[in-house]
Order: sequence, then structure tokens, then C-alpha cells
Amino acid sequence: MRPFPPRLFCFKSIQFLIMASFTAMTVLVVVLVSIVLYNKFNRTAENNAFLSNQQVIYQVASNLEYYIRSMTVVFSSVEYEIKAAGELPDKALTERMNTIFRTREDLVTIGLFTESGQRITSLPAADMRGNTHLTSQSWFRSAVENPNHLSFSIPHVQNLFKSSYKWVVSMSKGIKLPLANGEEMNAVLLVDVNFKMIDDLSRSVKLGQKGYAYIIDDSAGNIIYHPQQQLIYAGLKYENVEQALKYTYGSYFDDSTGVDRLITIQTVSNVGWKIVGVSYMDEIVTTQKEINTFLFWLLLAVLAFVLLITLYMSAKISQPIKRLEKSMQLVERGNFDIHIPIRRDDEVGRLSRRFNLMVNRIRELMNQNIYEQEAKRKSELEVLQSQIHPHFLYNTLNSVVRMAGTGKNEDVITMITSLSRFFRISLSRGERFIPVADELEHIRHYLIIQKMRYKNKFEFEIDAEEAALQCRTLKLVLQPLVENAIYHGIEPSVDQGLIRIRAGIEEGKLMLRVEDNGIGIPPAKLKTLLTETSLGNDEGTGIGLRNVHERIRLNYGEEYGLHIESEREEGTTVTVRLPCRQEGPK
Amino acid sequence: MRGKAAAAVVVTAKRDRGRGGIMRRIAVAVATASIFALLLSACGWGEDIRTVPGEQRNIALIVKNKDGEFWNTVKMGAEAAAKEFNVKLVFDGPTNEIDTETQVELVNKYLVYGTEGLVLAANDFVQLADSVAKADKLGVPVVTIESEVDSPKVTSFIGIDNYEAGRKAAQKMQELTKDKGRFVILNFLKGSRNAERRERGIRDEWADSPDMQVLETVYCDSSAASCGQATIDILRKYGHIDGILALNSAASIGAAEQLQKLGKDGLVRLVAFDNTPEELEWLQEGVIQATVIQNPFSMGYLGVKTVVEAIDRQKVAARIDTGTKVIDAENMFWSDNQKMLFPFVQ
Repeated sequence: MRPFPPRLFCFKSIQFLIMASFTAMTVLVVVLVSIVLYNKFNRTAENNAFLSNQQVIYQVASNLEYYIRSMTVVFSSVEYEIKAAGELPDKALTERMNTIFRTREDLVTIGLFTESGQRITSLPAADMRGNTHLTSQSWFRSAVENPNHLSFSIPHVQNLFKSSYKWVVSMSKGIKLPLANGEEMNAVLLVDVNFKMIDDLSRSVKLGQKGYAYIIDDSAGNIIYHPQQQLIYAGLKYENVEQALKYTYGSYFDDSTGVDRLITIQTVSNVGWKIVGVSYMDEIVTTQKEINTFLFWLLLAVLAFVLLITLYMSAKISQPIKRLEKSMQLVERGNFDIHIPIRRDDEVGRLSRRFNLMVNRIRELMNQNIYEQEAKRKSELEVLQSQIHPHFLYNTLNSVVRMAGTGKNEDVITMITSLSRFFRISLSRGERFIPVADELEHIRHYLIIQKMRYKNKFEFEIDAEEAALQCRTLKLVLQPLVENAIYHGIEPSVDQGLIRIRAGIEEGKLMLRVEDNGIGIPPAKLKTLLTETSLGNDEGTGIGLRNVHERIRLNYGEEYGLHIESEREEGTTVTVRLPCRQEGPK
Repeated sequence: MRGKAAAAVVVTAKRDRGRGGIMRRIAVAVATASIFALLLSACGWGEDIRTVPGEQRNIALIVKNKDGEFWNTVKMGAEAAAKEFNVKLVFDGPTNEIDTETQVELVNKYLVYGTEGLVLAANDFVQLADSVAKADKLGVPVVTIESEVDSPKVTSFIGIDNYEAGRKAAQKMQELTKDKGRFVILNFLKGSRNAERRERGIRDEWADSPDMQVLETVYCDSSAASCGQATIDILRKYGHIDGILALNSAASIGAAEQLQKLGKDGLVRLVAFDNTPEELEWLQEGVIQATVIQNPFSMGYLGVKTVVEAIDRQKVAARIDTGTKVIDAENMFWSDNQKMLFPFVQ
């Protein structure tokens, strides 16, 4: 038989097959889903970054536009006040301008200059410095060159007044002042704005952790505002403004600074500035990386879980099959007394039930076979038994003829009567089991006949306990024993014979004994008398005994049968051990 | 009663289980697995997805004089870098540039506090060497700015070529005085390496110009007040001179202040160093004719940036020249020069 090691993983087992295929399938599915999800996330993240950047920058642009419009309004109102004032400088005008100046903390300077650079009026009213190069400053020149057009300068340091140097954006416009004589004078109106509001606006921009927005001048690409303006000015940081200048609005990827960045551009319409939003791709990628890590851990977790589940499940599936296999091995070895417990009504459960039914059927068939064999044997023995009678009848009738010839009528009558009774009980209406009383009666008649035939060569006694008489016994059990005692015990003996038949109950069992005082049986023969099965090697001696023994055992079971004790020249006792039953076995 | 009920339950359960068989159990397992996975993923999404800010690094910036205008600009640059590179910056220094002892103490103190990097503008070329060696032993990189330290353990030096700056100042003065005149060098600290290098540059530049005559080098200890007094003394001693070369901001401020007071502004040419707001005003007003600017903002910025790179074990340049430029009243408001001269403060 093939050895079956009790291993958890046998590579040819169903358990392994289930686990492997399930795990492979799960991994495949999870990996596929992960890849699809990752790509989807990737694209969504990029799209989202694009969209949200555009929204943020658009928002900043409109805020900035709004702010510039409000500054334009301030400028216009200053211009209006000045034009309305008439003679300059005017105290009331200065007062009104002061009000405007004080309410706006982003105003640095309000100034009115003649075309030659002479100050007409200004706020603050501090002394002017020397060497201001006023007329050559860009805001002044553009105001003179484009009168009636409000121009915005690029950031510069305001050097006009004796206080601190401040970085400002100058709004300037060439205007005509009405003079007292009705003529008009060209003048330049200046409003300087600091970066406070623009800085606030810029700070409100959130483009990831590192992202920021800066403002460039549309025409020359000068940086108007940058969160790290000083670094730009010091030359420690660069922005690729050339490319930004090519766009009016939109987004593009830029790696000119060595880092992948997403640039979003929006133009502020009324001033010719552009807002450039910068966000770093590695931050978008960071999200991607996190998704990656997440998907990786998810895969691991699912894998571990699936492994556990399949381990459990495959064990659940394969264990009953293994149990079934073991049971089958037992059956293979010949043990049919097996019943597999059915735990579930699944495929294996049904298989187990079929197997149980099959084993049951086999067991039944085998039992039937045994029964049939026994029945066959019984009938054979009974046929053998019945063969005794003709021979016995022949001898007896010869004796009767002889007695009739000698005129012993009394003996003839006795013999014929006994013979008649003998056969009546032998037939006993075809029943196989008869009461012990009948059996004893039957043997008594047999002994009477035999005693007369052997001319009183022996005497006989029949004793029976009252209890034993009620029991039923297999019929014609004693006759072969007595026949044996006469032929092999008494006949060869020279002494007067004695045959004693006794029936009794011992330990609940029916005991029938046949004793004789014949020559006895040689010990060697005694040993094999009941066990030897080969028929007729020793002139039929013992065949009767063996037949009786076998019949009893076939009918009642192994624990019953004959027991023979014998001593040379002393005699033989054959004990028949039977159950005491009121009814015979079927 | 209880037994019966239990039996009923068992029967129901059995029937329930029995109906589907293996396929049903597989289906249940798969369903359970997917639910588990969903739960897991739900947990995952619950967390904030965001970048974890890297650990803040502690860096100390120790300058020559924590009250000095020049050093304030250095600090601004350092702070810009600190913001950019996620650094917790400590700014400190003695209250005057002569005080080497205090500076050594400060360096030792911040080393004890466990600073991870040190940006140092040394008050003395030699005396700070031990402190640098000590830092190196602790594995703390030291980046020197503006002034060098005589130690091979210095990670990097960021500053200008002082000799070249001296030559530039001399050239400008020669240009202003048309190759002829008597001059005084108003130097800041005797024994200071930077001071020596700058003066050496001036003298070398004029070595072949006998008409450019250096009367004297006066040391005035990097204090505007004492440099002002020195200016008065010089004018009293020599009467008229053609020009003063003031080799740092304190000397420049002191000299400019006194020249203006004495009405000598413009008459005595003043070539200054650095670009403090006062100097710039005098430059515009014509008291100072020209100034040689270094780039203190860049020094601060690059100092912190370089020390961060050194902490991160990146390769850093041993020497970074931030460059000098000669600015006069004419070009001071040129767009590029504005950007160099005036700190952009919102």
C-alpha cells in the first residue's frame, strides 16, 4: 500500500490546487485592479491638478483685476479732485487727498509734477532728495509720452522723498491742468502703490505645499511680484518667463529649472500683467506614490486574507475527502464494519453517504453469502443423516425375520413397535427441532432395537432432569453418538456393555451425555476426531460425530457442539452442549 | 424545552448550510474577502493623504555684530533660505565686531544646544579655528560667510574676494579724482584679514600710480562713532585731502556723517563699502561718491543653503564668490542695481 504522509501541503492535493489557483486568481485580479486604479488615479490627479491650478490662478487673476480696478478708481478720484481744485497747491485739496491717502495703507505716494519734473504738490509732503533723475524714470517718461493713458510701471525703488526707500509700482498719467488764464498745463500725476495687497493676494494662493504664484509684466517679462522677489533680484533664483510670455492662459509642463513643474498662466486684462502659477509635479507624484504604497499594502492584506481563507476553505474541502480515503483503505483491508459520519450535505457528504450505502450493501451481500453457504451445508448434512436410515432398517428387518423364524413373537412385536416409534419421531412432521423428551424417546427405541439385535450385549439407562425435557433440540443428535458408542465402543469390547444417556441443565445450558464403558478412543484419534474434515479415510469412523458437531454449530453457533472424553478400556463420554430453548432457531 | 429549541436551531442551521454545498461556501468566502478588502480600503481613505514635512533642522547663524545693518541683510537672506529649506534658524552674535571672545562662547553654546549646522561670520581669522574644529568633531558642518577662518575643517566659504574689492575701490577713486591726489584709508579693524586684504588691494592697484598717494591707514574699530571721530582727526591733521576710502559700512557711515557735518561733502571724495540704507541715502545725496557692494543677502541665503546641503551629505563648493559691484549715484537706480541695493520688503 502507498504511504500517505499527513502533510499540510501535498503538491498534488486538491487543497494545494485550490489554494494556488485562488491565490493566483486573487493576485491577478488585485494587480489588474491596482494597475487600472493607479492609472485612473494618475490621470485624475493630473487632471485635477490642471483644473484646480487653473481655477486658483483664475481666482487670483480676477482678485488682482478687481484690486487694480479699485486702484484705478482711486487714481481717477485723485485726478478728479486735482482738476476740480483750480489753483494749486490748494489746502482743501491737500486735505481731501490726505483722507484718501490715510485710508489706504497700500498708497505710498501721491504726487503731481510738471512736465519738467518740478513738484506741484505731493503726499507725503517731505523734502525731495537730490539726484532723483525724476524725468528719466520710466513712469514719468511713459506718462509724458502717452498723455491721458494710465500706465503701470514695473517695480522700482521710489527715491523721491527723504524717508525710507520703498519698492513700489507706480501708476502715472499725463494730465492737463486748467490754469487761471484759461490755458492748460501738462502735468504728470503719480500714485505709488506698495506690494502689501499684491502680497496678500499671492499668499492666499495655495498650489500644494511648495507651489506659488508670481506676476510678470506682459510686454517685457519683468517680474512684478514674486514670493521670493529678493532671491530673484539677488540672482539666486530664476523663473523661465520667456515661455510664460508665450501663453495668454493655459497650462504647460516645465522642467527648465531642473524640476518638473506645472505652470498655469492667466492674463490680467486691464493692466497687462500675467499671473503665473507654479506647482510641483513631485507633489502630484507624491499623491501617486501614496496611492502606490496604499495599493501595495492593500495587495498584501488581501493576499494574506485570501491565503488564510483558502487555507481554511481548502482544508474544509479536502479533509472530508481524506477521511473518506482512509475509510476506503480500511474497507480495502477487509473491514466492512465502517460507517462514515456525514457532517454536511455537500458533495463530499453525498459521496460519504453513497459510500456508506455501498459498504452496507457489500456487508449484506457477504452475510447473505455466508448464510447461503451455511444453509447449503446444513441441507447436505441432513441428507447425509437421512442416509443412515435405510442401512439401519435393512439390518433391523433382517433381525425381525430371524426372530420371526425362531418364533420369538414377543420380541418381534417389541422390535417392530420400537422401529415404528423410532421412525415416527425421526420424521416428526418434518420439523428440525423437537423436544428433548422426544429425542430421548427416539434414542430409547433405537437402543431397544440395537440391544435386541446385539443379543443383550449391553444394557442402557436414560436419565433426564425434568427441566431439560422441556427444551427443544436439533433432532437426531443422539442417534449418531449412540451408534458410534455401540459400533466402536461396545462391540469390540469383550465385557458386558453399558450405555448411559443423560439430559440435564448446567449453567443454563442443555447438556446431553452419552456414556459407554467400551474400549475408548485412542488419544491420537481423539484429538482430531472433531476437527478433521477429510471424509472417510478411516472407514467412516467419526463421520457421524463430526456431522453432529457441525450441524449443531451451524444451527446454534460456535460456542455449542460436542465434547468428547475418553479413556482406553474405560469408556467414552460424549457431551452435547446446546442452548435450552423452548423454540428452535429458525 | 431548551433542548428542543436548540435542536430546532441546529436543524435550521444544517438545512441552511446543506443547500449550497461547496460552491456556496466558496462564494461566501469570496464575499467575505471582498468585504474585508473594502473595509481595509475604507480605513486607508480615512487617513489624510499628504506629504509629511521633513524634520526641521536646527541651524545657528552667528555673525560679527548682531545689531549691524549689514548683518541684518545677511539675516534676511538666511531667513529666506530657512523658509525654503525647512530650517529652524537661530540668529546670534556679539554686539560689536571686536568681541571675538563672546563669539567663541556663542559658537560653543550653540554646539552644546545641539545645532546641526553652523553659519559663521568669524570675528577673527585664527581664534575661531578651535571652535570650527570642535564643531567638526561633533559632525556639525560649518559654513563661513564674509570672513574666513584659518581652519581646514571649514566646509565652505561664501563671500567676496576682498583683495579684488579693494582694487575696485581704488580704481573708482582714481577715476573720481582723475589719477591724482592724497588719500586716507579708513580701515575697520587692525589684524582683520578682510581689512588687510582690502587695503592690500588698494595699495597694489596704486603701486604704479605715484600720484595716487596714500597718506595713512586709520583703524577705527568698526564703530560709526569712532570712525566719525577718526575722520575729524584726519581732516584736522592733513587739512585738505582728496579722498577717503572707507573699507566697511561703519567706517563709511562715520566718514560720510562727519564730511556732511563739516560741509566737506563732495569736496573730499568718499568711496565706501556696503549698502546700508544710510549709505544709500548719502550716495544719492552725493556725500558718498561710490560704494563697493558685496551681497549680504546672498551670503545669508547661500550660507544656510550650503550648510543644509552639507548636513544632507551633498557635495558643496568649497568657495562661493558672491561678487562685488561698484555703485555710484549715476547707476544706483538702474533696474539691476536697485535690485541689488534695496532689500525688497513688502
